[in-house]
Amino acid sequence: MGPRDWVLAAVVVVLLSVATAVGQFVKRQPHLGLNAAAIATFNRRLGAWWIICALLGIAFISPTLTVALFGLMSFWALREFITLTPTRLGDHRALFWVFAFFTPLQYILVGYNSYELFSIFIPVYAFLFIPARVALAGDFKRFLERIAKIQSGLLICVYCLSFAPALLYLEVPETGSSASNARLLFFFVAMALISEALQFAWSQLYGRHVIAPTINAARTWEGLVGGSASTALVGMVLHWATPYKFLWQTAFMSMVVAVMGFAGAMTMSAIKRDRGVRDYGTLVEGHGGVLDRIDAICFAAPVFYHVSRQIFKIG
Amino acid sequence: MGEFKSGLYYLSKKRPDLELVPVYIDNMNRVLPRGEFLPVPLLSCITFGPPMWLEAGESKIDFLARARLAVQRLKEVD
Repeated sequence: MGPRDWVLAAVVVVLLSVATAVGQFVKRQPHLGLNAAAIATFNRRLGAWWIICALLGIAFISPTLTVALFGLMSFWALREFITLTPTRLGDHRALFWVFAFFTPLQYILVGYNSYELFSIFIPVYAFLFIPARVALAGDFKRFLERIAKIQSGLLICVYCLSFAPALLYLEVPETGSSASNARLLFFFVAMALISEALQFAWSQLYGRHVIAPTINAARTWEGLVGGSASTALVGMVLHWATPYKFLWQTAFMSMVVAVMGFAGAMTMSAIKRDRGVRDYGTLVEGHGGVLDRIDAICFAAPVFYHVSRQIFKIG
Repeated sequence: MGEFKSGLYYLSKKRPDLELVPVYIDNMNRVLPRGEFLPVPLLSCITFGPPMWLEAGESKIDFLARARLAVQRLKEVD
């Protein structure tokens, strides 16, 4: 780890500490009239972010270990997703293949950096295998609905999330060392965290127009616009840690993370509302809600990877 | 949930010193359905009930119905 990495680590620890301090402060200020449930959610999220950032520190030491850790996170998130969505007996064999074959193989392909394989493995092969295997089981009741649930779960929890550790294998031009890749992954996750915190802050302070009250009452237009704009500003401050050539590229990528993270959180909220639960974590007592914490990363990771690689020509 | 088989009754009659603990495993029909041999790792929840014994002079049918009810109740708690 070079001096830049230590500075980055220090920045992350300071930002997390500030966010934690703010969260704890507003929790003790009931007279401000802020939404108590939203504050509790924010504080729970921060606790998880501390853990995620600590795990990301491993990326500086071993990319392979980071891929494996993200793989475990995918596996757990998929468990929560499938547990929440009702399946029928006829889906059993297809589900077994999804958990035992497609999920681990996707991460093995990411670990070997076979972009040509891991970028199409699930959208083509798993996508076609699942309906065929369910059809073989002979149960046609609500067929399209059932296969769509399994496909969506696999795409969101496994395919999309696997692009986050794939950032470690992009060929970053300037130094070519693995530390600059680890910094890119760190930048991505830090932006997702910061946009989460900033959108929350803007919504609480200036939020007037709730986007979709039936889905998520805490998300406002002011939070989305203000949060994304201020995320871009924070991203520009961290420009030195990224491999992007120009400042505007870093700002653009930060906004991409903010907007996609917002889209992910809204989508997962909609699924939870449909199933009538508040959090994936409260589904079964004693199991943590991994999917509640990584919804923003799941949506942002593939777009962040693709734009970095194809448009800004990194890797 | 099916009716309980009589083995439970004979077991507790022969060994009245043993506690019978009702246990309900949620989601079991999805994790490993009847007739399947490969499990799907879904989230599950195990609920334990208070222990029970064969009461003195309790008939086989009464006892099995009571044992079944004890497990059934755990399902509703969850």
